[in-house]
Amino acid sequence: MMRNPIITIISGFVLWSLFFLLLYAVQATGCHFAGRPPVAHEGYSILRVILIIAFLLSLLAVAIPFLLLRRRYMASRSENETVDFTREVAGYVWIAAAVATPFCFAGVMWLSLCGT
Amino acid sequence: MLAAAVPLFLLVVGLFLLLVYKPQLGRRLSPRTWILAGGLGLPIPILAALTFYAFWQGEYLLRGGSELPADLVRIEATGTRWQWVFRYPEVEGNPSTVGVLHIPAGRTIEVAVESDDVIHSFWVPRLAGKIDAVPGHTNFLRLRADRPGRYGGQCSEYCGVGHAGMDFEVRAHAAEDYQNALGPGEQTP
Amino acid sequence: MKPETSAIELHRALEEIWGTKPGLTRLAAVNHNVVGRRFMLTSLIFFAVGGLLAMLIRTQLASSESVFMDAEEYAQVFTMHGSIMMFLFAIPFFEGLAIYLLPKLLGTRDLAFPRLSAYGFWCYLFGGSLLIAALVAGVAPNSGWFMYTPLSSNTYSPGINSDVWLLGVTFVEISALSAAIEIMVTILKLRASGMSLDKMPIFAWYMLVVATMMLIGFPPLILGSVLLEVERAFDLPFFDPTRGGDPLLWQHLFWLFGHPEVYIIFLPAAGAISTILPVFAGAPLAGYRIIIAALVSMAFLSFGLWVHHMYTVGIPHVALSFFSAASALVAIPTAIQIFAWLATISHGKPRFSIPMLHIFGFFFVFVIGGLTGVMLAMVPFDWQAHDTHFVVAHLHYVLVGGFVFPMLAAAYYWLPHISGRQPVQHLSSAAFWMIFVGFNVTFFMMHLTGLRGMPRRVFEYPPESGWETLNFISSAGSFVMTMGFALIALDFILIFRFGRPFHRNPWSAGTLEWAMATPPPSYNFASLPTIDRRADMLDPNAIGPHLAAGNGLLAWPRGGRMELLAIDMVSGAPEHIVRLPRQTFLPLWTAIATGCFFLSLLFKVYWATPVAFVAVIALFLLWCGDTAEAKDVGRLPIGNGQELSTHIEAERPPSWWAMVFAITADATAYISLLFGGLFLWISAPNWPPQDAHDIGLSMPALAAVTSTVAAVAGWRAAASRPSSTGLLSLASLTHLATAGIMLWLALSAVPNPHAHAAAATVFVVLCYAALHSFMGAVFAGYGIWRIRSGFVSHARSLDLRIGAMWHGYSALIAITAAGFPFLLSALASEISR
Repeated sequence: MMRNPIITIISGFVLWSLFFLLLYAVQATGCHFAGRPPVAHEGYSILRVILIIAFLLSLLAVAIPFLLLRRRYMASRSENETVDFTREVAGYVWIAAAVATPFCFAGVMWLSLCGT
Repeated sequence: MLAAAVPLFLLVVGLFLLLVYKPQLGRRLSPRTWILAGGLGLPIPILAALTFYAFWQGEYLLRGGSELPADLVRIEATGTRWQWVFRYPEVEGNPSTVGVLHIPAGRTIEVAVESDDVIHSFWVPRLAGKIDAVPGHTNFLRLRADRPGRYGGQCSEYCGVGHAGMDFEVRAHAAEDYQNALGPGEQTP
Repeated sequence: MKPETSAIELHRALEEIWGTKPGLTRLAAVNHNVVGRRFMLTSLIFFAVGGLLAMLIRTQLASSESVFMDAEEYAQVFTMHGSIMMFLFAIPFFEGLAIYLLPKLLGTRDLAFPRLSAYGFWCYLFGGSLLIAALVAGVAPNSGWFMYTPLSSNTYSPGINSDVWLLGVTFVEISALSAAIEIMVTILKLRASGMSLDKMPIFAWYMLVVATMMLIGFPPLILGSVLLEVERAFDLPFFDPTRGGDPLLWQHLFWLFGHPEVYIIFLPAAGAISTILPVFAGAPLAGYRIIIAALVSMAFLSFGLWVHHMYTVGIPHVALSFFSAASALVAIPTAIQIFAWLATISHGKPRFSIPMLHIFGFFFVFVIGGLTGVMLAMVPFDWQAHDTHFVVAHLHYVLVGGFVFPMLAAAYYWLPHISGRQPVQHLSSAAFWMIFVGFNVTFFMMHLTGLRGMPRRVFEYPPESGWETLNFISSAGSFVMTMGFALIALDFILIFRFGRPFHRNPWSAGTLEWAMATPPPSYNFASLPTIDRRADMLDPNAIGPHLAAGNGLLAWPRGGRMELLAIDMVSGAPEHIVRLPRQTFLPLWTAIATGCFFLSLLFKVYWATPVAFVAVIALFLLWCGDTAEAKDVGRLPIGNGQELSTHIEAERPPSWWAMVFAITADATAYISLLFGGLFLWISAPNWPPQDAHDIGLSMPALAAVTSTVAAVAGWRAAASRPSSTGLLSLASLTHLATAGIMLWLALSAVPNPHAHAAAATVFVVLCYAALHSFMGAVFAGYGIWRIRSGFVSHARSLDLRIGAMWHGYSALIAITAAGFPFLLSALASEISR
């Protein structure tokens, strides 16, 4: 548990935010280098591979601390009500972040990458 | 979506009124069950299904509501305050029209939308979604009219005092009439 | 002495210190009771103006080819309606409510920075009045409330109209940022003894989340406004596509603020419901912890969906999918709250009352708004409905349902607290039903006109469009709604005039704001409470008399000082005593100087701008005059046999945290600026620029060195404390050197910033760094002044430690600013095709 519980509570979604920015930036930069195609064709396979790797990384980054946190959370229920509170709230927020990550980023698997 | 929205609305407002007058009806469920069932169980499947259906539908519409054919008809639309100018680079003589967009029916059209001044938005409600005309950018919209006819279109991004009057008309012609419509002397509506 | 006598004497002693004096000295008021009420009253006046404009709009649209207004008048009216309701009504109203309520709910006497809230109020009042004055003069903003470029740029809006919006709204946003910092610090540090994080009243959790969102959400808007004003005034082309700028940059910056803004407005209202509804349900709020988790999740998600206002600008589908999915997900935290409220009702003994009636209005209207919101989050649907009256209907359902109805519930709930009188309740239900019916008639029709293709912001429409009947019904409904609001106003006046006084806690609530006399005394609590359970399950009827008799902490005033208690932000254990400054005219003078700064820009009297700027800084330095202690105070008794030191001798007092948050907000603006530059490289037309900038290596490297020296010297000074004038002089000089180098680079090494957005961006980044280093020199000079005046000792090192944070931060800014030109030119020339 980190020193300031507020940081523990928000850290799951901080990771989500960072990957959100990363994926959006990679997509935009990739399309910039690909040039602007008039049609939403497929075939930027390198860009898609990079995006999918970033997507898988985001899953790992959010899932691993979540599993670690869960084990510790399950292991002990604190006597101190404030600590107990922090763990429960942080647990919920981490679950939410762990669900939001695949839900928000799964589109990189098949949707049109560039162009309109 | 309306079919899902109306029952959801009735459910929530109905529950509120029911519980205010007869709270004992809800007491059998613990607060935790209420929150998990209503806050997670109810919305998550609906939202997931809807979101992924919308992704699929979006891809379909991006291709003009069909599989993208190789022989797109390419037309340029330029928004300028306060009218739309259309150019037909694939038609002989490179004609242009103002306020009227001629298209062949039954073909997928790719409109390259640009702006000469401020942001406009190209919208033909019955044929496709809208796409903004952003100065410095070229955006593409694919649309298709299955039958000949006239379809209203308008600018849908506020662009100054002439915005309300910045409408246009799409005329979809049968294949054989399309060239004639753009022939000499027909270019002004 | 009998307890009653002592309670009255205690009241007199505290009122003498805390109370606002009569006459013109009212303008020196800093008390949160006064400032909070002023905020709310002013925002209601602006609400009336905005409502009047809405009436004009509905009159215009009632028939198809109305000649009531022409296109230009209509543009000013709809732009001002949106701007007023967002920036001058919704945000300031909940700020006022929070300023008024939070200290009471948290069990303390005032906010952390009373003068700052007074300054915020004056900025709000002056900035708002500027906008209204422009409306009266017929030169109001006319590009829509989101001010899309290039329509709002010089070429297409050559008049003063856009400048009024950019400068007026930025002026008002000073109050939003200061309120955000104020609220965060107050909630984290100034709670009642024993009020650990898990015992905070739920409204405080809501406001903590909202204030954090404001801290991150407003800087991109302020940055965007500054850039656009710089483009308009000095022709630096950030948004001009012909010179490497991009109109889409404005949209990103605006909506990066604009969407979180919707939740910033909704959450305080939801917080009010979470406070009020359990009282009428007769059961404690269900799912306290899961609601807090939902709030935190919502805060993050709401920053991940700004592009859903931009589905039609030509962004690739995969990028839209991130934002679309986040927009769908954000419905879930709302659903959690709604079902937590339903669970609360079902486990209590609900009673129906006027506030509950408005909460019913909220459920009905907001759920419709939420459902249409999910529809609009879906990309294909939005491609059709975007910028039609369907969106107008949706946003009014969300904002009126999610803000106005809950706030009316809150008004009826807390009006007895403010007025000391109970509602009369003759007009209240009639007024509610008129608003409710009028609202639904007005806006439900707009779903239909929108789906039939009526675009928003048209001042006329063809008679054959088939929209006329629906529009006429809308307009009729809107007049019913207006009459409802007029009745509410009358009802409020009647309550103040004829309401029956009551003893205490009319609703049998369990929160601390009812544990005081009503209307509340300026100091709230004659002595400060200690909490041992969740702060919405207390018994105000027992706590109130106990505290009034002086049996709590910090009961008797000491040396005419305003004292309150700071706690450990997690555990709620008392940490130190905070001594607040007294009433002063300085906030008013500083706001006037700030106003001169903005007016000089508006009327292009640029020689006056630096004068006003220096005046603002000088006035702010004067604020520090009465926050110092000339000698070490040591530990003082707080009652119950406990002793604590004062905040000046504490490790991390409120002002230390305020600096942390101020730097966070500033860093958000700076990062937005850097990302803006990179965005232009990726997206804008006419890149790369013709003449690449080559600023040489030596000067940027020198700036990096001087700024690092300044940071280290400032940091060492804070550690060595009273003997550190030498180190601070070094910091001051090196800061000035850094600022000088940055300015020199901006003015002479960067190619013409008027020619291309790349040079313009580099120019602004360098100026940003110069300004921060200059402020660093001011901080260092201030430290020297404080040491010379004997206000610094080993124990009293707060001024230096706060300064040290800025020294370090401004060095980071300078180093990144020195590197940024290289990054941008490398990207633009080497890699770009």
